[in-house]
Amino acid sequence: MFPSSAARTAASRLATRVLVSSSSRAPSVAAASVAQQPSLMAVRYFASVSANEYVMSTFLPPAEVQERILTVVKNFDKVDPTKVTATSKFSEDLGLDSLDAVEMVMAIEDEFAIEIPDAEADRIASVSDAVEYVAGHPMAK
Amino acid sequence: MNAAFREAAAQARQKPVLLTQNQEAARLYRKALKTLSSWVVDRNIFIEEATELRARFDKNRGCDAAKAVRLLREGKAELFEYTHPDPYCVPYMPGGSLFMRNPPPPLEICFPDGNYPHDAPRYTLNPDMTVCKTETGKSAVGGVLVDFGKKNME
Repeated sequence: MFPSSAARTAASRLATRVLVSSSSRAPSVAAASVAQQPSLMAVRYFASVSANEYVMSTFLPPAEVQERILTVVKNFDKVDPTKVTATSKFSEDLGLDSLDAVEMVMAIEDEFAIEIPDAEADRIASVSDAVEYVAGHPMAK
Repeated sequence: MNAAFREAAAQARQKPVLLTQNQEAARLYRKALKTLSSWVVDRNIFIEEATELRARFDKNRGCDAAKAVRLLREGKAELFEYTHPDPYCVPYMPGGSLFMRNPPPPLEICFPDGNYPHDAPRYTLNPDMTVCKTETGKSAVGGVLVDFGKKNME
């Protein structure tokens, strides 16, 4: 997949894993969810019930986002780097299938240290979709 | 408080999402890769194992619908067997150390007199700190059920 993945990804993941393991697990009301297995759930209310809030402009500039995403796409094994443009679609232009698209989205998540929910990840089908999503994500690094 | 319980019950009563088999397979692959990355920290070993996982998926590519139903069910059961007790998550997501660490204060507290500046940007944030957009259908208005056991929220 990505044999030349940077060692820094592993290192940063180790660093954040140290932080994650010390987080508390809150025992909470058990509720049967729609999925097959019951799970522990906690209801959390966030202040955004009906009020809008300020957010600092922590968005990355779209040009930088595009450059980094193009680098990620070009480093993919199954992709011909010369064919990658800012508007290439994963399935039509680059000849990737849905599982490759999944791997690509995961690589983009790793690159920007964000997590993309499943519904949004299904929708990312081209380089421009990815750029648009990441540029609009306030936690992208 | 009654409202809280009612919202939690409403969350649980939502209709299950209907996905095509291709989408289900893609999601299973995604979850499997994430679970694998929680178990396998070393990048080289992860790449090897992920290649094997991909080969397993590719072997059953293009099978008929009935077999796909069975394979997906077995795949999900196997994924459940491999659940990680403390999966990796991005720090600002539930289960991470930055989750809601600095929540943006509500406008009523920033401007107690009620005179909000007219040129201030107004966003509504999801708990994962993305901006709510009505067109994507994800909005945090009301209660969001956060699952600290599985480290997700839907």
